[in-house]
Amino acid sequence: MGHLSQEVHEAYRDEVQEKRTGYLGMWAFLSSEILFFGSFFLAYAVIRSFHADAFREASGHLSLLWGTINTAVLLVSSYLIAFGEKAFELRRNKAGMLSWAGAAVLGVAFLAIKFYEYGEKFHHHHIPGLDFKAEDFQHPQGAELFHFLYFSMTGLHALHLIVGVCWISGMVLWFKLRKGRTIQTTYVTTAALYWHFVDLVWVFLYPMLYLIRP
Amino acid sequence: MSQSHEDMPSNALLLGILAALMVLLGAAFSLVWLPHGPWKPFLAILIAGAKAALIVWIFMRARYHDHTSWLFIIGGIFWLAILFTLTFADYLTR
Repeated sequence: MGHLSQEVHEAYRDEVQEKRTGYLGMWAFLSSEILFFGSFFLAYAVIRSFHADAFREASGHLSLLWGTINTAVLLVSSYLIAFGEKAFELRRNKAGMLSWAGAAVLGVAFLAIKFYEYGEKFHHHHIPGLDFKAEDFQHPQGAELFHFLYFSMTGLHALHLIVGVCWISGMVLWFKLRKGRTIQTTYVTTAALYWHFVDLVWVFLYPMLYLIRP
Repeated sequence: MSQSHEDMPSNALLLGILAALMVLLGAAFSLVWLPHGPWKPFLAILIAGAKAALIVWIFMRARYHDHTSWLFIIGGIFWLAILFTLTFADYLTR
């Protein structure tokens, strides 16, 4: 069985302890993120329990095709992050950087598709609170609430993804500048955990927003 | 000190998980063409749950983590369950 080695910060006994601490810290942050997004999921569940027909109708006004493509884009990006993480740990830094750069590009592609979808919503006057064309819906009150949740949840998710793209791109750039020097696997694993979490949130947003159409 | 290959998934496993995620995405997408019923949203969330489990278990390496990390993973889900249970205990019994 092969073994890896890396630089260990002075606060830690060895790299295993450092990596475990990194995992623990990141999971502590992510468990708070579960509750952060969870409050939006809860609002969705409560409001939908009162406006089930309106939510189905409003979901039909979203693009199922773009939503599905975006889900596939994020799933592939998660694979690239996992593959790159392993490559970094095996000191195959070039493969790791290529893989993570690919994931960052897919993240940007996701955001581009999402903003195109937002543009369509602006075009059709389906912006809750500002410019909502109630006559397009049989249940306008519930449909406006659905769109409010749609923009809040996907907007918050997009903000997290923007942070993820900056984080991953910044690390690739930083790794490139370090050239042949060793890379802290703790930095890699915490960034990877964050990216996968952002993917996880979308995995649930997709059926909640796009798949409840009539 | 060193880190072994045992705490990381193989390339074949990573590819297999991606393939499984794509199959599940296809299954969720095909739900749209099935007749409408109250079971459909639950099935869609169930498929999402299966996708999430694969991502957490392999991509996020929960399979290889020690118990302290699991404390936070289960803790987050537990508190979310409390949030949902108490809120719906109120709304559904009014």
